[in-house]
Amino acid sequence: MAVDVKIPEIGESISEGFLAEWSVPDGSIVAADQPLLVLETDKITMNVTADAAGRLEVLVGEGETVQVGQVVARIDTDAEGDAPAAAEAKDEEAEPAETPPDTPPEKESRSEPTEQQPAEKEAETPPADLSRLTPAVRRLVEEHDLDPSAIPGSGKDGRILKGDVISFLDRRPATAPKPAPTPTVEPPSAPRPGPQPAAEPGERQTRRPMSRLRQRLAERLVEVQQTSAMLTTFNEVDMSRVMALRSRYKETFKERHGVGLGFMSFFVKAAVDALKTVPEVNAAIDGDQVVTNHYYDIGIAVSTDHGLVVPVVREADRLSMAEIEARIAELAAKAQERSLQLADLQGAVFTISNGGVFGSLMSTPILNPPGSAILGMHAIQKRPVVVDDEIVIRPMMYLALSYDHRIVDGRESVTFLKRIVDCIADPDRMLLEI
Amino acid sequence: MATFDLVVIGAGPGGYVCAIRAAQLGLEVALVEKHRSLGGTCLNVGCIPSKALLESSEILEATRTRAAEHGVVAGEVSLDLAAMMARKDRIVGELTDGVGLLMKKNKVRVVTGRGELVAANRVTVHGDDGVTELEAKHVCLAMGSVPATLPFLPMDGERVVSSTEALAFDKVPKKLLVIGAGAVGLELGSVWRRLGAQVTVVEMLPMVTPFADKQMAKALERALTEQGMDIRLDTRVTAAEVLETKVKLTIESEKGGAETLEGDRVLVAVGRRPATSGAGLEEAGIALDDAGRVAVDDHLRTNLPDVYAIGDLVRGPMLAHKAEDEGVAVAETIAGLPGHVNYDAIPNVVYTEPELAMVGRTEAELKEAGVPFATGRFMFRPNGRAKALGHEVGLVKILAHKDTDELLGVHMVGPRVSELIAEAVVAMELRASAEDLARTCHAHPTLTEVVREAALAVDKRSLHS
Repeated sequence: MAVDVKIPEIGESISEGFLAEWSVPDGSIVAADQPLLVLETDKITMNVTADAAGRLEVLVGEGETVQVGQVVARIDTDAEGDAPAAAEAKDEEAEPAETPPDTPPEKESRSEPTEQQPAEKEAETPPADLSRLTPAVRRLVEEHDLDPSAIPGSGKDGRILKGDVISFLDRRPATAPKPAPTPTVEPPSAPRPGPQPAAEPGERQTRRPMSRLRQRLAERLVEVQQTSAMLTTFNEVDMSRVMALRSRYKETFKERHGVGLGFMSFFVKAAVDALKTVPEVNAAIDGDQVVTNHYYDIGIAVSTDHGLVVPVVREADRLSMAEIEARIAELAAKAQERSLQLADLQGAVFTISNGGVFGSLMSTPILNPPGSAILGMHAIQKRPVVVDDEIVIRPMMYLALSYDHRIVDGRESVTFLKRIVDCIADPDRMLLEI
Repeated sequence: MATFDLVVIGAGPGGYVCAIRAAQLGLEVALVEKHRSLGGTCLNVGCIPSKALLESSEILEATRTRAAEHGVVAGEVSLDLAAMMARKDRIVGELTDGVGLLMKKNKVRVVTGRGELVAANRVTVHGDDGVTELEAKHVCLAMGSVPATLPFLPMDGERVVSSTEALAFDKVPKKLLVIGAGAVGLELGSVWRRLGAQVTVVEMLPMVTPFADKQMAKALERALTEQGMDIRLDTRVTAAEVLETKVKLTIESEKGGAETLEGDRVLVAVGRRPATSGAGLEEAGIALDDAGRVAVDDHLRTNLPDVYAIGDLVRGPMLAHKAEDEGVAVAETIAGLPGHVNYDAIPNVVYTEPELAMVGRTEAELKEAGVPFATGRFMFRPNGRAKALGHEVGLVKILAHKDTDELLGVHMVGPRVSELIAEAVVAMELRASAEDLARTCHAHPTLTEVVREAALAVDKRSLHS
């Protein structure tokens, strides 16, 4: 029996996508839930997985634009061959694919926590076709739970060498990809150097198609610049208290919560506090009306090997520091694996971008709509500062807040940023709400 | 005048393989060879006859010295040198005839005579029946090399000989002097030592097989010395006197001072030089490089349009298989395909007992290039198959990049390593890591297990040490 592989519903505003790549070759035997293809849309890049096990018959080639619901391949379930055993049970109930593979969750209602659904998905990202890898590469890919298709191969015919995996791992931050700068006026960080085709010696230029994600990003960045009155205010913050707190409780925190304590949770907390202090920043223009939000969904810019995405930490005001850290790590891992759903990306009221992980000292971030402000974190640098009329060395970070001047005035924006500075410089203030 | 897409001058392994590949790709090909017998130095007076004699002489020595240990009682063992030579000749004949058949099968026209490049697109062949003119769209020069000589010791074919004569002595010399401890000197030295000669090898450099990894060269030298070969390293031949029935060589070394060696024959095995004369290269305007080889670019093109050169005529190691690969590359280039030779993965073998085989770079080369590497070694002695064979001498050494673990060099001294090296060459061609080799299942009991253990040893994970 043949089961259709359809382009799944991706989200309300998305009707088409770009079939970037078949992860398995035409005619191969696939297991149920094995990733089949990489779909790029305006907003995200995602894997579409197999609904049933069997032989894959590709109907639409790489590089084609595909519509939601379009049949792009068939899986002949009678030709299951040597597909992994795990796939078999599924066969009997394999009525023609009613539910398209990898259907994203309905847009979740605000009041519900958003975590459980994606958590189980992660575990099952099955190894692509590991048998095609060399033994050492296979071992590394399995040990580090990597997607081999994301690793650029430099061997014969693009084979992945052990050295390729090692340098891939070196480039990749230790656990999850670090939060990264969002749209800033600096050269945007999106495509990392890794996966790009290496230039042949002597070639002065190489040309390749822009990914959907990148195209959309480009459009949006220009659009924001053209439709808002963007302005940036700066300040600096003494990080010594936060750093001391972090180094003091790092171990305990990790033991207790199973997740590392980073700076990001402090900044998310501080942003929530500042949004509560200056509610004008948590607002947006809609036509001739001003919409003020009373919830605190914070976008975190994440740089991955396949581009920049801004997943959202929902209801950040109701989460503990540990929950925030866990949520960021989870979203970053999903971003790296391309398993983010559109719901993970929509509706941030405020965004934080950390150019500091790449060493940026100062930048002017670009707004991430519908949010009316974005905070840019930067590198921490020991600098001489004056405290109580003495010159002392302190770990300092410049902060930038870009905001839409149509709705936020200078007074609000400066107050807002000053509040973040106060919360970070003296975290106790957040606790005591003073 | 006959017109061809490609005229190949020289029917050695480079030339005849080039001709076959070009014919496969649909080109009209002529192959010019001055000898009646095809196959060049390799088949006629090189690789093949020496391997025949090495095998025969090894049987003699094994029967004399090792059979008893196996419980095989052989009685009196004697040598029939004429029969041994006849067997060698028969093997050479079968193979050279085989090349002729291959040419017929591939419709390559063989033209016998001395080929001369007259111009970029014209070759004349001076044969027994006169001169043939060939019009060539492309020419591939593949005339190979000839033994190098020493200025103070001209070859006479009798007392002072090259490898060609040393493959066909009619009786075993009592004392054979060998100048040069490269592959030829050590292989032919081994043949005649096994057949009963007292062999002294004189080498100017401080190691045998100077292209090899130092540790491996040392291991080979030790093994050969134990067998009774007298090897003098760091030693120069400063004078020679050729008498009626013997030759006297004056040698000098830092350590031993001056000394006179006597032998009934001298094998001069100091390398080979490209056969650039006699084919009209100079007249045609073919440029040579500083070392007197035909200058070629990365695609083996000479300075003349449509004229290519391969094998011993050009830069790189003088090895039959390197010439073959270049021949294929030239044929493919001419046919419009991307012809390519990977010079980093060309194996090199010395067929002594133990054998020496290597591919890639040596420790010294890596150190000089500043490449960080890790080393894995494993001996043949603990290996079950090596014990059963009774050949326990030797080791495998693997050099892998410190960071990426990619194989950079694989070096072997030991039993049948000429065959074992192929695994390493494939691995290097595919740019495998030492771990890839280590995680590949190897049959038990085989000598290949030593390769795997050496690969494991790169990461200090040897199982049997």
